[in-house]
Amino acid sequence: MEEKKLIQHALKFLAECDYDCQSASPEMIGKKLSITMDEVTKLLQKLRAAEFMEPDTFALTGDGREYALHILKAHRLYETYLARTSGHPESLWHQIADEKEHDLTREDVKQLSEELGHPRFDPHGDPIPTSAGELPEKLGKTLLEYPAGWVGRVVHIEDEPAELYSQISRAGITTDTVLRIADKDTNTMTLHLEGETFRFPNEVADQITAVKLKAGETLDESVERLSRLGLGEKAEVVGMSALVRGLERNRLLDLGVVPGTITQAELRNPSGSPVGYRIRGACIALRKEQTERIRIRRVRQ
Amino acid sequence: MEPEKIIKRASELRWKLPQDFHDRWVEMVYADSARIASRNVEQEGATHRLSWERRLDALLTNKWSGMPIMILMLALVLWITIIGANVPSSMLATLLLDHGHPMMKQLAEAAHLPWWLSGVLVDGLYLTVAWVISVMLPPMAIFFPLFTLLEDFGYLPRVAFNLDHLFNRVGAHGKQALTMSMGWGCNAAGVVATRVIDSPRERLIAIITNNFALCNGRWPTQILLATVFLGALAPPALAGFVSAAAVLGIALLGVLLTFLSSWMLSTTVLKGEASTFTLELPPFRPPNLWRTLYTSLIDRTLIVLWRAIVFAAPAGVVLWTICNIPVGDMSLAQWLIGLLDGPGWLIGVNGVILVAYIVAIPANEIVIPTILMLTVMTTGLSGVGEQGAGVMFETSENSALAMLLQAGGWTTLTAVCLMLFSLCHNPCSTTIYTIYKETKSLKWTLVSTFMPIAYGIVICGVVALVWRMFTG
Repeated sequence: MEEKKLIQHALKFLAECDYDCQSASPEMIGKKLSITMDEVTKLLQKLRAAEFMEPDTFALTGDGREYALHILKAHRLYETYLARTSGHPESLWHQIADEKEHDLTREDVKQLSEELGHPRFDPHGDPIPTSAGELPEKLGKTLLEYPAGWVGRVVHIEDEPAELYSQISRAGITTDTVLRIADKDTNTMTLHLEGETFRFPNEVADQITAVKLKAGETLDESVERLSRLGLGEKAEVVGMSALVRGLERNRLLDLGVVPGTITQAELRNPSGSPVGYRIRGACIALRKEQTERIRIRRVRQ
Repeated sequence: MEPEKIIKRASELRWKLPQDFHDRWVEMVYADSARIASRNVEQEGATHRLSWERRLDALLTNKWSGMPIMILMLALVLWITIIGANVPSSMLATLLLDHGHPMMKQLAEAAHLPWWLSGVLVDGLYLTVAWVISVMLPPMAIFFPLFTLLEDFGYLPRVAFNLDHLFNRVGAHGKQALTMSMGWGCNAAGVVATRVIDSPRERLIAIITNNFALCNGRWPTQILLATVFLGALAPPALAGFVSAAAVLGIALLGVLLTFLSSWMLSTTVLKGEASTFTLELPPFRPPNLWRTLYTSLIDRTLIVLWRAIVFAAPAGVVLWTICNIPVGDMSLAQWLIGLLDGPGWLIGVNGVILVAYIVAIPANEIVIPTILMLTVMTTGLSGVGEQGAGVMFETSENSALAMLLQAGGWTTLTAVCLMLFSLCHNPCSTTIYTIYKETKSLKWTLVSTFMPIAYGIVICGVVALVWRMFTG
């Protein structure tokens, strides 16, 4: 890896540790950046020589923090950009943004933020620093710390390592998902959401951070996914998951997949996907990946 | 409160909103507008499907009946096109080629045009354009209206619905089934038809792979070669069957290549393009015959034909010129043929074929006539193509054709490789231009142009190599 990239990755990591209120160590830096301990020592010398780090602790200086927040912002904005406009699978966003963040100048970042409408969070729920460098305080705890039967809202999903993350995204769990811990034992955790039940190993559940619901909020047990609707059955659209993004979200909204629309499954491809749904007087065929991301509530015929 | 405090308070509160606040907000705006609309708009008639529509839908998209009906419909459309185009095609050929060409020649003589000018204009420009019109116009004027009728009736969206899961697996859209079948009529029209695909990535895939749908300019080449070379290998009773199976095999290979390259494109170069899926299944309705005829003739047939003529005319000039302008002791065409014989041998064909493909970029229709003309020129055979050297011709006598081509050094391998190369080579210039117009991107135009050639060279090269290994 080039020196500039190494420095930027190290700064980003230190800023993340700072945000998570964790103390960094040379071993952690070495592991995160996949470099040897000798290289870590040299890197730390360079960071201190450039006055990005305090001479005797792992804390960032004012300059260092400012630089780190720029890289962090570039990374998270670029992930948001990829999520909204590209067709890359979720598992690749982090990797692509990790490359791209080094090429974005401060001007680029400012422009990107403006184009995206100054988003506050990236697709995984990480806050994007404001231009003044502000970040909100960290909320929530990992699912492992909550008891069985607990109901809460997902606020963050760790996107590294990618193979754990893709298990979560395949289940359609995203930020703002409301879920219940149906059951937990020593190695696994069973989650209940949107009428579905998923069982994850603890290491996967550990990637999910959640907070308790606000006063007055409850887990609506009648909410299901459109993919569950059988032929001829009717339902009312409750909303779309945050996983429906960009072009696709606009397209579905335009077609009338909006809260309150009554829909009925009319025609099924023999293979199970796509299925034709009656939506606002038209028959629209949608694929299974899409109907898993649309929340509905059954209505009586 | 002081302004600074308000701003500070606002930015604190900003973080407190739910993460999907914007999405929810937009959703509520849509939901509100939907409520306002449904409160104030009166709708006449029922929106639910009639029971016959439901029964027809069930029949057309059923596991057992869906596929056979689809294949039957496609076969019917192709059959009507081929049979129906025969008569007008030969009438046009008689009019424009058999009578028109000598008449133009006489006119040129009467006007005392120098030999080269009359050659360029009559033997080059006029003949090529006349050829393209007579071969291209009738099948397109039948195929496109039939297609539009099926579209208007609402059948084609059901085909897309039936086949979507296959296309989904290779990262494409079900509607690509339609643009592919449209490509069997004409690739340029198929490329224009990709407008029905509203997702950018899937649309690009459909555009780039459309060339693998054997177009109506290439069917005759396939049929001719299969009849003359492959049918002749089988006992006479089976000859028809063998050649039909060979042509069908090539068309199916095209479908296979479409899927293969769709998959390759969607997992490599097009991975990052945005993608979405929706497919509307409109209610069945009786097609509007006259409007359909009008729009499909004007929008599809005439536009494509006009573009083909615009590109074919200069090609005619070039063709005549390279055959008739000597460089040293040979014509330019002969030099080129000599140059390309080596590379041609490697992929199982010969220099004549490669030169024909270079000159015939404007229209696949003139490939066979050009090959015949160049073969006569290089072999020096007499008795065929009385119109003279450097003038395109065709012959209806299959045995004479076989003799001529065998004199040109053709073997079964040449025919097989030419059939494969005819499937996998660059799209005609009309299609290339249309791709550029539709994608507005030089990059994708180049990809669509050179990807099939690369396929063709590899496939033909491997076939030639294996063939020669086994036949010694």
